[in-house]
Amino acid sequence: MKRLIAFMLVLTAITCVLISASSCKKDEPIIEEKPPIYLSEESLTLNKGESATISVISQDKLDTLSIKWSATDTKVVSFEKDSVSLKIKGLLEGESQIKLLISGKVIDTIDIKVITPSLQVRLPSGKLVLSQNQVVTVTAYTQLTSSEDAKWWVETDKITIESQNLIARVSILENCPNGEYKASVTFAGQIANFTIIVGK
Amino acid sequence: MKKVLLSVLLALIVVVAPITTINVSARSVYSNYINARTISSGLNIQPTAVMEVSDFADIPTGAKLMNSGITSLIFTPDDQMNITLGAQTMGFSQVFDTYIKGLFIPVLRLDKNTVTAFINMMNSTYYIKDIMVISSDIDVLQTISEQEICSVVNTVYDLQNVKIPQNRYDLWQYIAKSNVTYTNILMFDGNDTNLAIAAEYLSSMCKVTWATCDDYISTVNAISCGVYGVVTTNSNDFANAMTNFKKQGFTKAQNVGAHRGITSYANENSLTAVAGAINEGATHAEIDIQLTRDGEILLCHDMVTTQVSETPNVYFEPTLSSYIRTLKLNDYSSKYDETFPTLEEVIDIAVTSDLILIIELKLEDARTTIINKQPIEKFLNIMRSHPEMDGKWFCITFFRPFADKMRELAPEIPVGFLGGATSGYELDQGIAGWDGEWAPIGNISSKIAFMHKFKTLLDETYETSSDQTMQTYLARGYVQNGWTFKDLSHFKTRLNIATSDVSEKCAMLIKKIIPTQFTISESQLSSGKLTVLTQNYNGWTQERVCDIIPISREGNTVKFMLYYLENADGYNYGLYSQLLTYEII
Repeated sequence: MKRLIAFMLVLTAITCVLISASSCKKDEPIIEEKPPIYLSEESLTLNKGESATISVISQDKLDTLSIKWSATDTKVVSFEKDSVSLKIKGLLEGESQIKLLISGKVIDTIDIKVITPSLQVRLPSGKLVLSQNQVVTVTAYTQLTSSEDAKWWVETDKITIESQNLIARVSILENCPNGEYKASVTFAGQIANFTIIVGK
Repeated sequence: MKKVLLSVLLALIVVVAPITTINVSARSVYSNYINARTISSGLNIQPTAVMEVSDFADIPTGAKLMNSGITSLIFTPDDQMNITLGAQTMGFSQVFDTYIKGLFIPVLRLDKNTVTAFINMMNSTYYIKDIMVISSDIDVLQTISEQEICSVVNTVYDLQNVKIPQNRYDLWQYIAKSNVTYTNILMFDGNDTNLAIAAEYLSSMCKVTWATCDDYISTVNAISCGVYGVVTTNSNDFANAMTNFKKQGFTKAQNVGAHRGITSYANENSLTAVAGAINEGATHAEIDIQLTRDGEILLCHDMVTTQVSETPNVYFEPTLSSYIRTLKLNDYSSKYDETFPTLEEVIDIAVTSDLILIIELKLEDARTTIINKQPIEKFLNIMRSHPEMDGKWFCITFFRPFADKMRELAPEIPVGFLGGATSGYELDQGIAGWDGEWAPIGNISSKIAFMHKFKTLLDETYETSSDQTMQTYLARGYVQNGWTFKDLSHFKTRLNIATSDVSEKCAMLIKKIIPTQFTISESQLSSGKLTVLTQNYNGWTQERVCDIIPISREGNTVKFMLYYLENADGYNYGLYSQLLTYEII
């Protein structure tokens, strides 16, 4: 009987030690081991026409000449490489995987999903390049409905925007300085941004 | 012996002579093309007046004919090619000689029972070069299109019993069928409330709309809807209706195409250029396509990048698209950061609107190297994988190999003839482009025969033809499209589609008069002016003060048209509304 009790006490003690040990481990930071070379993102969702930059993270100096990229579907996303970063652009709705290859070996991949934004300005590159005194039409399109008209905005009073809901007339005033100006349209709770560049 | 020889000789003469006589006198041939008849009016594009004859006595002659404006007559022959009207029956050849020759274009209404008789007539007794056939049976039109002897016959698809849909693209199925049979005219009921929808859409796809009208009011209505032909039973209705169209202008907004897209603030043939065309309200965007080494279709006017890219001297045909699409388009100092778009990217934008793509089959100017790569097959694979684009595009080309291949693989797609170029492929083969049969637009007979042979649409620069020539082609179902104006002078032409370098200048010009309420006071009516809602090419709406053109009044119900004259960058541009019915309050 005594031996049994002693055994139970030892067992309990061991269990407590183990539990406290694991509890102590939860308080310690979990260090995930990273590979020596990897991409800055694992996956990305892009709007059509939107661009993003993916970087290669490396603990050691990389031979950039050995870096190559490939995509499973180049209709969905385009990419241009520049040293250790990759600029990608969503072209058409769909999915594509981009692979980082070094010396012919796949080192890492990133899954890209391109979606159609619910509200879009009909400017594929998101920009409008105009001159002073120029007046053009810009339209937005959407499947959304709203009882309120779309609202257009531009960050300078040297550019005026008259609008009828999703149709806007953009006028560059004569005294508008050359430069890049942010603009947007808001409709049904969604916002679509674009840039007006003055000075061809 | 002499007697025997003489007898044999006589026998031969008796047997052979009749055969020879029959062959010599077998067929009469008539090959003149008459000019279309027009009535003095303000309309830039005047509809062709067609009369459906119910009595020989009704056929206008002399001064009545000149004043009637009627160009074509519709008859319904039986299976012996006899025409019975009232108590009178005459063989068609007699009807032609007595009433038609030199005066009208005959339009024969045929069905399955009578088409064979017509073909036999053309083969053996009376070959008329300037003749038309109308049928509600597409198989009859198909039969006509397959007969060598009927290569001169222009045809009309009778769709009077088809209700015109609200969604214009539901008409595409009929346009597609008519393209297969090379039929350029589609006829609808002039009382259809959606007639203007058909007139606008068909003209944007290079087809001619005819409308059947049963009285003066319906004739005015049909003309005001923008049709290119009215079919009446009364020889006075057309001339009377036309007296209401004295003011200069159009009965529907002229189609305005953006040449290579909008180029005043975008690179030509870029995605922004196409998007700009939609934004500014162009009805069409003309784009040029090239084929790369790996079979991708990219947009570019030239077969080499020199004119439009920071990186010159890169040829599309031997180069991978993955490399070409790293190159930047060079206008605007690359601020758009754009490259050569794929056809699919253009489609992705175009489907969000009613823009119609005019796709020029450039494709390395049809050199042998490109022909061997099946460019048309690759092009059609892409287009056919996008059924949402059905009825929203057609092709144009300078090169016969492409026209032939389109006809073989996609006969439902209209193909416009740009000019008599010789492709590189044909040069290599030592053969003349288009069989050397290109004819100038003023030679109507040869030109129509040419287009029939190669099954192409008329698409040439307007300046080379006169107004009379234009109307004469229109009467046979050929609209004329024209090119690359540097200003808005196309508003003074008879062009069906005016493809312009400055189409964005039309953005805020009037496109439609769209009144929202239909009551008017006596004082407004007598003032001759009415303020109504109108829509511009780019969709912008605004009120404009329009002229009232009264047509009829019964009690408190008044019918009139509205008219607005715009100063389009120094050119006059007038537009009529449809015939409207208002209540006087």
